Amino acid sequence: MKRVWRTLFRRSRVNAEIAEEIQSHLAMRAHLGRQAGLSASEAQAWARRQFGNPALILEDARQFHLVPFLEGALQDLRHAARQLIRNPAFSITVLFILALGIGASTAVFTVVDGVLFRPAPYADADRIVAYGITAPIETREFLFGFDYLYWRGKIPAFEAVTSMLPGDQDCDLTETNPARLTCAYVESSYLPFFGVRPVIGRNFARDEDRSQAPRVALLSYNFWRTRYGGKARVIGLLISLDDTPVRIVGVLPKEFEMPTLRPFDILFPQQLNEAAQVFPNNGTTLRTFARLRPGWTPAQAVAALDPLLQRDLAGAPMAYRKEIHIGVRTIRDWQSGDRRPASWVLLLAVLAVLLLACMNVASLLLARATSRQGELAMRQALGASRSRLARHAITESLLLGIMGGTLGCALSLFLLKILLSTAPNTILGLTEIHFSMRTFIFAALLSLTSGLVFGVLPALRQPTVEIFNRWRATSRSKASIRDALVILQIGGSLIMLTAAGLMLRTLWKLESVPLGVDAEHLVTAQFTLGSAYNATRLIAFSQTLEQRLRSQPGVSSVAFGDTIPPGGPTRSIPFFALRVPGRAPFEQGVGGMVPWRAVSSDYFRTFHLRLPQGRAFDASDLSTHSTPAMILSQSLAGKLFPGEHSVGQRVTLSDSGTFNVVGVAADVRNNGLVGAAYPEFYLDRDQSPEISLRGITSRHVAVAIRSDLRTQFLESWLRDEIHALEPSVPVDVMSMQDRIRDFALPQRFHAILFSLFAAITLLLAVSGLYGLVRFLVARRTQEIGVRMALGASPAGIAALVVRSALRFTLAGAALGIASALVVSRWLESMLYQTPSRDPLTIAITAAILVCCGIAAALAPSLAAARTDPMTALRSD
Amino acid sequence: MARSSDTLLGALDLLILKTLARAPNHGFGIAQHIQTVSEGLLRVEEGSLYPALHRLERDKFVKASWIQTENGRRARIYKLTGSGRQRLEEAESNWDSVSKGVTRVLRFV
Repeated sequence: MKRVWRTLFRRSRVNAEIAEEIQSHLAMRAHLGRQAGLSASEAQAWARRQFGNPALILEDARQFHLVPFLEGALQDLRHAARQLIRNPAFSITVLFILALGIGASTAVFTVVDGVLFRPAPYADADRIVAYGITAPIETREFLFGFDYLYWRGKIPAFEAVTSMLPGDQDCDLTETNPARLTCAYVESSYLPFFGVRPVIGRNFARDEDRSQAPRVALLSYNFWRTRYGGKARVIGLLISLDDTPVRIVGVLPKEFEMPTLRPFDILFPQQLNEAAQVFPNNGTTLRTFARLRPGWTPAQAVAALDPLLQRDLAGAPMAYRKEIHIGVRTIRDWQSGDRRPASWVLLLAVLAVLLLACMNVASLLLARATSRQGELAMRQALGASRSRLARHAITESLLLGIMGGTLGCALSLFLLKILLSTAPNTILGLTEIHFSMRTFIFAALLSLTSGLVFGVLPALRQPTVEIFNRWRATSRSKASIRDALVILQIGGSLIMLTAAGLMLRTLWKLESVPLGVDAEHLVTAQFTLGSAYNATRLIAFSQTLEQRLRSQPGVSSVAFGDTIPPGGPTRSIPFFALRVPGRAPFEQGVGGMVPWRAVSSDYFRTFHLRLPQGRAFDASDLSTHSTPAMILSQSLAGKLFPGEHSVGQRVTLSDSGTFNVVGVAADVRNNGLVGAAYPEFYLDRDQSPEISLRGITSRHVAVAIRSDLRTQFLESWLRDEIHALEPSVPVDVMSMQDRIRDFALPQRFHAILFSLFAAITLLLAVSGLYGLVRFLVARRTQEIGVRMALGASPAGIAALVVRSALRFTLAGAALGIASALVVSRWLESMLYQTPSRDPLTIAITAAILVCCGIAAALAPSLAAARTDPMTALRSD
Repeated sequence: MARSSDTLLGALDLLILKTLARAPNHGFGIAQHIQTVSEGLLRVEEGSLYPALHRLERDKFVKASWIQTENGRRARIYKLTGSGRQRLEEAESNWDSVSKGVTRVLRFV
């Protein structure tokens, strides 16, 4: 760009200089004339007469000062711009198609860039790994505090290690304008490890990371801006968090992101109590990261860690040993996890859409080239070299590409907004649109590449002398390029349609999966109470709220729990920790995790959760006092008591005592819609408060009300009731149906995206076919005239045209089906209970395509049928 | 740039370079000098002179700069560069052989 400007600038400067030189020459000669006795005007006229043509001299002299290629390129560019302006309908069509293709590609690239390409923003990101053990409880690498401390420094593969506490913790800013914040806890070595330096203030000191040290905090950039207006004097400020004073020591840079990709407001030192880690029961779980020494691979690190694990496991229960493994993954793999395959599919699909769009534009350009053959031949005859003409064509394509790309960028911002509103960041891994330099470069490359892709074909096709012969105006080889392009577009759109069909079928299958709960007339709320709520206050809170909710006429039942089924962040214990008194413990591994919920007695009634055996919790359980009650899910009952009646049996939880099984509940799809139903069990929160209120989810409250009242009313009423008791707590209120819809979100997202792709490609293919058929009809006007003159009926002529369109469609469909059978295998990871070569989907798709093909041919065929043989035969 | 086949056409370059070897001069001066010294036998057209000067400038055989002449006019004067001097030597010796060659061809018929 800079060079072009310089050349432009130089051009005017050079012109001025040469002009001045010529003036100076003329003045000198005129001076000579004056000396010879001429008058001033005579002398000037004489000087000019003596001089040659100044304009010509200027032109001749100037050429030595310009870069000839750029000069030519500028000329080509002006020429191309004129061409585009001269035919606005054509230019707008092409730009629209390109903007659509490039815009969609850029939007999808922005979404998948983080998952597929963008290196994590850390120093030596390619050597940073997440390491630790994986277990059925947690498939993402973690370590117990003891192992972390003990292994540290014993691993030759690692140059450095660091750790943080897993999960987001809520913390409350307890001062004027209280707020619920997200806090993260990290080791003091954490920021230096990732190569991050606070923008103001300092990192945590090692002393501040000792347990019981005075509390200090680092603010996230965003929180600093919004809460403290980005003022530097926050450093050293004492704030009150969860009613304890905390000193702010620094602010993190704007671009800093946690390796977990979770947003956060405040970073604390994790203050790991190192002495306590030796006792397994007090041990902390940590997310652990390491920087590999140069030359080490993750696989080698696994091999180096395994002996340490085996030694530590020597004393562990047999059950653990079998299912615990070492895991070392690069930070990017760790972050993107299972989103990678789907991201690749999306990116390739959208690039295929762009390729089809380019083909469409290429066939439009070819069609225009045909109509411009006369002009091109004339220019060639007047001396334009073939390479010059080819350059013109390429310049025009590149210009179109760049303009299309610019429009595409604007469009992609719009598309991204839509994508973000349909999909939460759990799918996109993206909370806000950051249209980075990378995206811009990608879009620019895409624009230029597509300009070349669709520009090369027309450029290669140069006019030849034969074109002056009108009867051979389109040689067969030229037409066949267009035919091939149209067939390819039809084939491509069939693939996209098939993919969209498979996605829609998956979505449909998922939405018809029985969840185990009845979602109608159910409104739910979940929230987390502040740390000020101890067990007593929590129980009092729930009781008060329950009374208030029940008193509303029209509410048929109210349920309390810690999470909302299905799913929810439940507490869980390993299966082997469930013992049946008098029987041998389960020893074939951990046996998977069993989630459980602490619920109120109306839970089952409210969710319409069937109880095939036994009964729900009731007051009689409370009166017995001796053993609290427990309800098992059907699959857990089947696992614990195969072939037996479960009600009346007793189950011991390893650390929480013995329970009486009073009922068996239907299975609920806890593992999402795609996975199998987990076994689970329920405890009564009123009977076993000491268990129910233990652990990390203890302050989570889930409320569900069943009522025939209007959902909108219930939602706002429920929110108001909760806020009446606890004004500052953020409450997530949603009808159960909305919540369930979120279950199929990734699939819905994929279905929407592929439907969009399919619609675009189908539109392109149909318009391409339409253009081609119309062109064929125009070319065969005389033939049609002859046929009609010889007695062909209009219907026969129309059928002739439709048949030719059908030939293209069927050829394209055959090609598409063949490719779809091969390509759809890649979609398998995104499908659910739908075979990737689903014959029904392919059949429907092909039928749609054929219908569209016939529709595209309809207008040209009617036009052909209306041909007046006399006019047709007289033309030319 | 200096191909031997250019030699015949390079006569103007040679004249310009030779003129500038004496002293830096402007386009008008160069033309006058050639005309005067050749006693009117050679007259350089401006249409050839200026393109030739600018070509020599691009090839860095001459350097141009603006000066103020004694009667207060701005003029673009050209000065021979080091490589220009070399080029002049080559062109001169070339010219010798070319003119001998041409003379022989003319006499032969």
